[in-house]
Amino acid sequence: MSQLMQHPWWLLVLAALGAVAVVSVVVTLFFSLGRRPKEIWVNQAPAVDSGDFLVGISGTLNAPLQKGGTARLLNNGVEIFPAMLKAFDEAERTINFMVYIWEPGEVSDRFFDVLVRKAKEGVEVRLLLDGMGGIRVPRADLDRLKEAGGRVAWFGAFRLGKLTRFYKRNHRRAVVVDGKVGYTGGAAVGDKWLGDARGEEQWRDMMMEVRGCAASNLQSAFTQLWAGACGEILLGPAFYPPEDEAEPAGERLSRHVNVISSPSDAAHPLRKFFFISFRCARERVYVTSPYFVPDDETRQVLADRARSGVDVRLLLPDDHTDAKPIRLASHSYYQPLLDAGVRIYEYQGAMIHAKSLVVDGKWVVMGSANMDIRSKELNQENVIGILDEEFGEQVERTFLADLERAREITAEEWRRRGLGPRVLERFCVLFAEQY
Amino acid sequence: MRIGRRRTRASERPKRLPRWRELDVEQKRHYRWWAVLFFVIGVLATAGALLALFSPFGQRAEHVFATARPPVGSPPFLAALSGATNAPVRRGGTAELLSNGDEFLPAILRDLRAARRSIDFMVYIWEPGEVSDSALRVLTERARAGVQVRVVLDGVGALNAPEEGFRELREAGGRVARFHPLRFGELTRFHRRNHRRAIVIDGEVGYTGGAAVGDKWLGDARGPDEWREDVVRVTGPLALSLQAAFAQTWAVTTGEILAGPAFYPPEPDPVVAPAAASITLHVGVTSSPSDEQLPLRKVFWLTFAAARERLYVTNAYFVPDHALLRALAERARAGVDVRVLVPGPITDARPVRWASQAHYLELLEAGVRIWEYQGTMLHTKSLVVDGVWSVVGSSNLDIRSTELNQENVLGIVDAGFGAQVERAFLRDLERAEEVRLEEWRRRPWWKKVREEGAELFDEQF
Repeated sequence: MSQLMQHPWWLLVLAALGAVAVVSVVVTLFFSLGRRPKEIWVNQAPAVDSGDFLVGISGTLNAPLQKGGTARLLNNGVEIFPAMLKAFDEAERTINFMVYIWEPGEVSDRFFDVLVRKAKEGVEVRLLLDGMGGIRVPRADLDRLKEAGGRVAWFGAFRLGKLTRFYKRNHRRAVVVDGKVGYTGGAAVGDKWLGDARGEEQWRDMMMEVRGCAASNLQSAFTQLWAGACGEILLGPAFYPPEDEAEPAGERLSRHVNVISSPSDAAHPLRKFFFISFRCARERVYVTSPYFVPDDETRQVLADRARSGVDVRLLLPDDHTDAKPIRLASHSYYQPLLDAGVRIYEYQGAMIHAKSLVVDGKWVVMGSANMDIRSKELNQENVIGILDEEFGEQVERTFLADLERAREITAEEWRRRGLGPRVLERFCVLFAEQY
Repeated sequence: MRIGRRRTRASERPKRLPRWRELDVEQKRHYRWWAVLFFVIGVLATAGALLALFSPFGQRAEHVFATARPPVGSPPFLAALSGATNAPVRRGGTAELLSNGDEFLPAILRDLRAARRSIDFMVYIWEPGEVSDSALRVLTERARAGVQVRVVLDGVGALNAPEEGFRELREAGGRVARFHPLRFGELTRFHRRNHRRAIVIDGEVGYTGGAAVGDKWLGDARGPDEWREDVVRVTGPLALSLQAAFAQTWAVTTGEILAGPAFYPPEPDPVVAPAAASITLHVGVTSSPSDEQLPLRKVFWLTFAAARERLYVTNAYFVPDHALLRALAERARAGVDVRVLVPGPITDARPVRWASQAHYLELLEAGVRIWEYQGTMLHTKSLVVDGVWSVVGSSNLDIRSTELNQENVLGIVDAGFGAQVERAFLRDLERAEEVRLEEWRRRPWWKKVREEGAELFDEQF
């Protein structure tokens, strides 16, 4: 101590501040001190197809509840990319394109070709890239697009002065053409999304194509961040077509809620949204998630539903995952879930990157969000909740078909796993707040 | 430089520790490596904290602009506003402007007394006194009668809330939660407050505006102790929008999500699409700003930019960011009658007033007319554009409201309600003094210095 006092006072004061700073960084990275309420519950749990459920969810999130529009499920690159390219080809006024990952390759080339061509034809093209996910975007193609009149903005680009926010990424997916056709789901731009999930190199993923007012909802996921990134607020019929013009003939969705998440310390809309969706399940909950590291409350509500006799099933990646530590962290959660009666499946043969949820065969949630803390509390995300029997059935059928390529993990087998994996899991789950 | 552990035998140690300036150069090099490491981190952390507090580094897009400027209240305006904030557009309901405590306090108490199922009560300030006593009395009485009573207090705004009264309310079955209480582990968030105002009764009747619980809201703005304040009483779907503002904060504070008809009455059907505005349409915007998302900034900017004829702004704390100031100035230059009413010498926050004054010149030169309210503190937060689009609620026009606090506002399209807000505004001008460009240019130099000094802190006001 006496030797310490030989240092000049200013050095000691600043050193003490430095020590405090280091401790705070560790605390904020690895602990969730006061970040969320300890418990979460609903004062009542109306069925997902009741008015109380929809009005309550729209009220809790202050998110618009709407009627009409259509939705179509697209499986894997073979269905996703042709549909998107065709929609771009038919664009008349605007293309808004926002995804998290943008990697060079065949998909990138094909998208840039059509975007540049449409920009030259006079279509307003806006591309919003994430500073991290889009870091490998081919710069020459960006320049080509800008020269053709397209506009490019970056979310959270790496710059001095932005460093405190570098871990908050834009994970949203919203691709909207003329405000009339929109795409959201798990896919982004990269060659791993090509093909039909036939092997290691071809990911299993899903996108949703929405039309009508569901598309103009998706538009707001884009316009919010576009305004935040470059200041331009998008208005007018090229982005929000008047209703009659946007509404295609054919079957309409009964109801949908558009949820956009830009979490602050005091608002985690997706956490509430998923919690209510699980809690109100009566018969079945089918979850597909590539990165399953939910918070305590979300795990508890799933276990609780399984104990009350609801058929709860989780479909997660197997060894094909692109993020082994995250898979290990999910493993540390298996046992209590299995014991409660949750059935867990691991997809074989390819990385499963699809993000979907269907409750009681009617309430479908799809979009960019993963079942982890990062999606609920750090990243920018957007999902659509759709109440529709036909669409629900389609998603359920797809889920059951995926189960045929998956291996079920049983509670017995899981209990017998070795010490090595258990230690690794313990270690990996320490970082659950950051995945 | 040699950094390492300094080894000294006991016999070599001096009796008295030498002062730092008594050490020779060689000795001064013997810093502990970890002291040096923490020193460097400490310097970086301090510089970082100062930058984060006082510089707007990349915090917001510097310029705000739009692809079109549809008139306020038109379907494209509402579609864009709702799109930019993902806030629902709802139809129907009523809205009534109540001026000063003499009008709004009896109305609030009357509605609370009539509650049958639920009372949700959320304000920023809660001070002991007459208003607090009568509010607690009726809340406790209703809780005893079996009504579900929920109160959200802010950890700072309600520091002086009377413990005794709230204990009684709890005993009667009422539930009280605190937003961001001052606790270790919450300290990094202490500057983010819940400034929302939403009082909702049975999910059917609601109140929002500038008022909270404290005796300065009593009376009729007759003197410095009676504040000038406006509150809006709403019914129907407008109350639903306030319910949403409450339910969000309640869920994040306590974990309980509110659902069911006691909070969201089933009728009328809230499923609407922005269409022809034959009856009142409104957008209920709740703001919980994140670095990436500043919904109120977009609401205010769109509102200003869309003005065609008149833009009347009343605000207790007027320190908008540059993009919003530019939008006001630009509209005035385009011939719109832009008027701003702010507090005069009687204010509860002088530095904020000086910071507003730092922007007077820029606004006056563009043709904006500025008034300062006399006689008492003006705490109203409202604005009305072209007589049809009004924005009322908890939000001030400062960076704290757009970027730090939890806020909620109602944007209402209705000529009848717009006329009420305009009438109140014009009546207030009679008690206000206009600031004239020529006089303003001649103000003494020390006032300018004071304004510049206050403006340094505008990121925190």
